[in-house]
Amino acid sequence: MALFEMLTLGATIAGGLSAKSAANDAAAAAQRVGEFNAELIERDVGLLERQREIINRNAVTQERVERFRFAESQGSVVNQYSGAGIDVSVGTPLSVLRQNAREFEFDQANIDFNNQVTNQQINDQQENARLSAELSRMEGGATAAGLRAQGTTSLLSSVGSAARFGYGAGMFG
Amino acid sequence: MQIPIYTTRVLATSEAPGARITARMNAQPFVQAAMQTGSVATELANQVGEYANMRYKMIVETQKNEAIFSAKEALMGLSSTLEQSTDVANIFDGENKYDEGVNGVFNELRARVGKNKYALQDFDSSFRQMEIPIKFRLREVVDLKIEKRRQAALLALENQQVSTLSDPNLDMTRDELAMSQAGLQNAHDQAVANGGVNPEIMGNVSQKVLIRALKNLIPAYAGDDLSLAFGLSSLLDQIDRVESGDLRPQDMVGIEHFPSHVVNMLQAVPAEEAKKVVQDTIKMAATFFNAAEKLEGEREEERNKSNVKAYNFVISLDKDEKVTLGTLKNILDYDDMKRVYETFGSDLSTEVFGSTAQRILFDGLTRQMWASPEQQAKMEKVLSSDTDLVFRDPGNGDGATYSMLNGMATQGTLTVDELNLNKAKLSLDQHTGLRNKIATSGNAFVTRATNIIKRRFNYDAQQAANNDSNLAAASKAAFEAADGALQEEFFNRRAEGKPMTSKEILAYAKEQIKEYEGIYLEQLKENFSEDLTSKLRALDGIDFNAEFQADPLAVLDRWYDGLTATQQSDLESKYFSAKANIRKYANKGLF
Repeated sequence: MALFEMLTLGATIAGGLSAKSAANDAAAAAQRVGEFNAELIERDVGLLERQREIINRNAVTQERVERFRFAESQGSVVNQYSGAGIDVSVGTPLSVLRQNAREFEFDQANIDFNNQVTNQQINDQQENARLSAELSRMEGGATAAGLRAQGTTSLLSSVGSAARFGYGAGMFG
Repeated sequence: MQIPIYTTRVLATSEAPGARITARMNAQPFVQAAMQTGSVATELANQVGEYANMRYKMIVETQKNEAIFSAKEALMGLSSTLEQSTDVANIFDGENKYDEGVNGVFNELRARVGKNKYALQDFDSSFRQMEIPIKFRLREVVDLKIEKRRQAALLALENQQVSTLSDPNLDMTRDELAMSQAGLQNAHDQAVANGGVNPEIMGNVSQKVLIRALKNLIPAYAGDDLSLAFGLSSLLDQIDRVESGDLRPQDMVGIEHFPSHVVNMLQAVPAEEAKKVVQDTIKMAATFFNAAEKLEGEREEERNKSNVKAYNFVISLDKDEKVTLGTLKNILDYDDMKRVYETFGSDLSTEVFGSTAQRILFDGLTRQMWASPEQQAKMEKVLSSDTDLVFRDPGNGDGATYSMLNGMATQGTLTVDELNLNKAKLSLDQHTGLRNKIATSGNAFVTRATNIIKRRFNYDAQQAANNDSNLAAASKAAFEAADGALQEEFFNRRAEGKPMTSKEILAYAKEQIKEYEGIYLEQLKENFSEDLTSKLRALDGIDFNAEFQADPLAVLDRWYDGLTATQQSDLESKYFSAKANIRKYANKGLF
């Protein structure tokens, strides 16, 4: 009689402990997965930073190229006016050149503006990635916490069952 | 000449290098894996727990069921014990034996259930359910018993009153009688008032008691005296006349001869009841009178039988023969035996000489004036004779005479005179044995035992009495020995004052048959051999050998069938004679 009472009690508690242990393992796994995903997302932040550098460098290079080309285009205009015997120091050719220069600067300003917009987008994406990583960690932690709580619940439930059984069987007097 | 100018046409790409990795690890499989891994151990623990729990429940249930069963049995036993108890006042009240017993059973058997609270609750509930009908049934029985006891107490009171009033010589006046009856009636009235007693059934108790007492009183007073019974009838007639006013009480005649209580009682009960009782008493007295007469006749007959025995002893006793006082006690009446005790003491084994016994018996018969003149003369002649006929020496008595007389005694035709005529041919023990056999011939149980011995040893008393040679000597010898032993034992036991019972007689007879059976068969075989040897000599070709002894009739028939017709014709008469001889021994245990 006492054997089966003790066995029932022990097995009930052992079941609870086992469930708790499994839930703890599952929580650790969930946390690991959250961390892993966060690390993956954080890699995007670095990637965007590199993209920003590249885009900025590319914009500088592009500007240089465009300035060179513009300068080359302005020289060509002067040459053509000079070749035609037109004084380029006053009048229309100069206006054309000036107009070209304004157009060119306007383009450069647009390009800068565009580059800034892109940088801003990268900033946003970086923030998004950071937040995603944080969320992933938080989710992993929350899942882990939930699983641990579930394990604790199972343990408490089994202890409760064991206590009820022990009381019913009159093991506590 | 126009110098060729190279103009770059390649523009740096505006696309940012690198791609976002969208792969994400799903936590669910890992969680599931961990949970499933853990669930194996959990399931194992759960299964072990469930199995252990199942076994535990089975054990608990079994213990509970056994306890309930035992409790039911114990409760029924308790109920049965208390049902039989006479201490009805302490079952549900007083010492409250029922509750005490139930608690004892409950506590004892509850302990057997174990500690499981649910099983204990179940047991408690079942126990109460079982106990309730038992309790009510027992209560019903106890109530009934109490009721019966109460009625019995009332009845005892009545019976006591009846018993008191049934004494014809009771010294009680009419007033005292009335008061006594009032007390009884009061007890019954109280019982009716307390309930449980039906006044309709009880009726008029005091009247009933008087009638019952009268039914005892009148027969006790006059039941064995016919004249007293008739006197009561006359008294009753006068009482009737007084009550009807035809006669004044002071004119009653003969009233002073009757006990006052008898008169009071006759007056106290209704006239028709009193008449009936007196008439029944007259009938009883008449029956008693007839029975007394009959009894006297039977006594006379018994006395006559004893006197015949005494007479036979007087004329057959040898003067030197020893007779025990026990033998005399079976013959003498009380007054004569009293004198014998005064003279010789009360030890029944004390022996007196035959002459002394003859004188005692003679005196007794003379005192009673029983004997006829011839018998008286014969006894006086025997007593006046100085010498007796001399018996033969022990063992030398004439066997043929003894067998003949024994046959007659077995038939019941031997008289003492006949025995005395042959006295000279007998030894003393033969004579004594035959005389005892005459004396015991009236006992039905001894006669039945003698018949059993007769049948076993193929004894024919008629043949013995006629000295018929056809009666096998073996039968005669075995019967005389076995029956003689039985007669002697019976006679001796009676003389010792410890007469044999019918069972003892039968057992003793069987014992004797067993003892003499072997001798009988041996003797029978010897007789058979003697008889047949001479017969077979005349039949050529047939011997008294083992084969013949085993089945003599078959051997004889085979031998005869093997003869020629001429031989058969010559030997026919011898063949039939031998066959008849063999048949004489058939069915006696020889072959």
